[in-house]
Amino acid sequence: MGQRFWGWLFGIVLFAIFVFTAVSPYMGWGLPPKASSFSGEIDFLFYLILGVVAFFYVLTEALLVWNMCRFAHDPNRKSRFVHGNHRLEMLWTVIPGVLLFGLAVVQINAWAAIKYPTSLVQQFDAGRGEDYLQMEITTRQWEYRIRYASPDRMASWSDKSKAKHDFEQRLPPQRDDVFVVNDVHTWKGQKTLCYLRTRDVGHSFFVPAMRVKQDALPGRTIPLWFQPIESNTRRSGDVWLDGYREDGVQDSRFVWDLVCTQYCGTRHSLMRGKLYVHPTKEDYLAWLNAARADSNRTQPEKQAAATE
Amino acid sequence: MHAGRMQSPSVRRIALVVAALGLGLSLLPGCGNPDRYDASMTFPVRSDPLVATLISQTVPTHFNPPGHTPIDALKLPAPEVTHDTVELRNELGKNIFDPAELQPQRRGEYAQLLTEMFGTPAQPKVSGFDPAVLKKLDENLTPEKVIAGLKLDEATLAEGSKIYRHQCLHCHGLEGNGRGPTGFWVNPHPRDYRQGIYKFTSSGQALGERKPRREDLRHIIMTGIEGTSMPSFGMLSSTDIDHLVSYVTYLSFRGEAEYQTMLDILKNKGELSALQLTENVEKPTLKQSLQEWLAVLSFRWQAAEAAPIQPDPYPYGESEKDFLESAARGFQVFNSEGQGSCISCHKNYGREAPYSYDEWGTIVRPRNFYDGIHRGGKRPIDLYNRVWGGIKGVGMTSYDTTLRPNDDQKAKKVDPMWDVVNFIRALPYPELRAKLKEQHKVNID
Repeated sequence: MGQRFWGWLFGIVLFAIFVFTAVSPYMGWGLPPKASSFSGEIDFLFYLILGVVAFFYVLTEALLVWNMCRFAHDPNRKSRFVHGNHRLEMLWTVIPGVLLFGLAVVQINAWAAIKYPTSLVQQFDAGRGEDYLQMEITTRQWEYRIRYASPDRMASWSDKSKAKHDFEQRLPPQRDDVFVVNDVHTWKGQKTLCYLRTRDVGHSFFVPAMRVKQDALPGRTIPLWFQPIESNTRRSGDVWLDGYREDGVQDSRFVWDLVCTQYCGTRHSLMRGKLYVHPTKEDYLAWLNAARADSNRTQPEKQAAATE
Repeated sequence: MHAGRMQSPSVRRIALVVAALGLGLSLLPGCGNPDRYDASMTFPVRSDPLVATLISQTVPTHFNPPGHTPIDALKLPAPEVTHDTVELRNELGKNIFDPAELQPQRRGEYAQLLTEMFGTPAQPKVSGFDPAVLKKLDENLTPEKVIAGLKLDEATLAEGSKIYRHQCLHCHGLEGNGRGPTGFWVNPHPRDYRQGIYKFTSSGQALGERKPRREDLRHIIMTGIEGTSMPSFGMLSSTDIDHLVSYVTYLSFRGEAEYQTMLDILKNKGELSALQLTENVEKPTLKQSLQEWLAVLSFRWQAAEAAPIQPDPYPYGESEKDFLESAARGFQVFNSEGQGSCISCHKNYGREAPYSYDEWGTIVRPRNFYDGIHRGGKRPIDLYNRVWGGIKGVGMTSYDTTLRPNDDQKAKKVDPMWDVVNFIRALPYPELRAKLKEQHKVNID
């Protein structure tokens, strides 16, 4: 084996990784479609950080490969050790420090808007609770059980008299609630607020298409919100199919998965649901009323059994 | 110079190790066939104790500690058992029978006959019907009709077996005994299909024989069971769930044929008794007995499919006023001695419900209606079906004869059964309880 072999091997592999990453956004291997109101901010931050990382990746790996090729074949050459060199150590501590601080400053507004519940509370206190579609998502091993409030109660959501920080009190269980397993429904343009809870261990709520990810912690109710700016659902009779762009074209990038990203037990990998974004509020209400009719069923489903 | 010469072989050695590791890892996914059971694998003959009937004489004081079902705990050494287990041992030989008493020869017979009739985990089948016995139960019933009606054909079962192995095995076990590795650590323990008893059914047969309908099993797989460890399997395709329903039915057939005949042998000190279905036989062979039971099970499962509960129409309007009036009447029925008397088991509306053993020998309590979790589903129809038909295996009786409206009530558009359902539906909500108390003088807190 030639002495330069390892240098070349490393060089080729590292360069291939760089090329692969660089072309992936143009090949459709990158982020999911820009379907969320967060897409702009989150994607900008993603590519900004990717850019910074790419710069240092190229710098350090090129140095590594150059060194391997340049010095590997000379057995008489002695290595120079830099251990204890304060100037160098300061350099590689301060530069990343400054960069990380810069990134922290750049992302702080996005973080506040997306993650910080005070902004939600403020909107509720301003009587704008009705702006949000509210639902409670109770996770457990291994499913999301989602409680939708009846549309008759939407008006009561903006009730200012409810306790300020007590999200649970805003959405107490009611007789006419609709329960659905694993399917999150909302409509295009609607701010959607989910109260995330868990019955057992830690779980997570991650919808890549909405750029939203939040862990569920035992004993806590954690609000999270997102606003879809694209729809992905088409009605076909009494069922709603996902994976359709708004112009009616089927597109696999418009199947939006909801996945658990917090290891929660043996079936963790199978804990997943789907996000259905209806084109309009009317479509959503049609779906909700169908689901509610099923929740309030007093007679067996005859047709359903016959058509299956 | 010296150091340089040393380097070259060690680099080569590292390269060799890396190459060997990589090759080994790349071959690993090819080991075994992860999709299906091994073809040579057979179902074991039942060896865990059989519970004959609902154990009512012995009453547990707590839920059992995790790690063993109460029945499996019977065999634990003395220092590990709880007071409840010691008490439960009194039922051995009366209500609980240990297959260890079976002769080894019988076990061999079981292994052979059951494999002949029901195949193996990799190649499940339902065969060995005696058409004459089937005919005796129902003129029109043939083996082909059973297979087609319950979708127990080999192709469907083979698909079901694969999905079951992947999704269900780790809790419900190889034979559907509810004793998969994780099954011991969750409470309630997973359902043991081998007794042929299912809690949440919508079939209107007599309580002793009520089997689930395919629709019931499908609904449970789709939505899961709230308040237990059974999650929703809604991410499976509709066909996959259909295959699973067939495979669960199959496991139940195999398990119950084994259970019923084995119970017979253990109760009668080695002898089998005939079900009077085979001509001119008083002391049947094991094969005849298994065939008789196969016919009986086919008949019952088929009949369940054809006899869904037909609920009386919901007589009330949509408004909250109607609902609360109905719930207030339901409160009376719930508490009255003669009619519902639900309160005698659901003590203090379930908040002080007593522990008891069920027909699988696991521990249950009547539902606490204040927590709003209804395992068999919280839709009105689900609750209605349970009041109508009871819950099998746990001692909840059926109320179809006592609570359905008589002609007088029908004329007045009042239905005691729906009243009870509405009362149960109102109980979890403090707001509705307050309204019942204020507006309808219902004495609850």
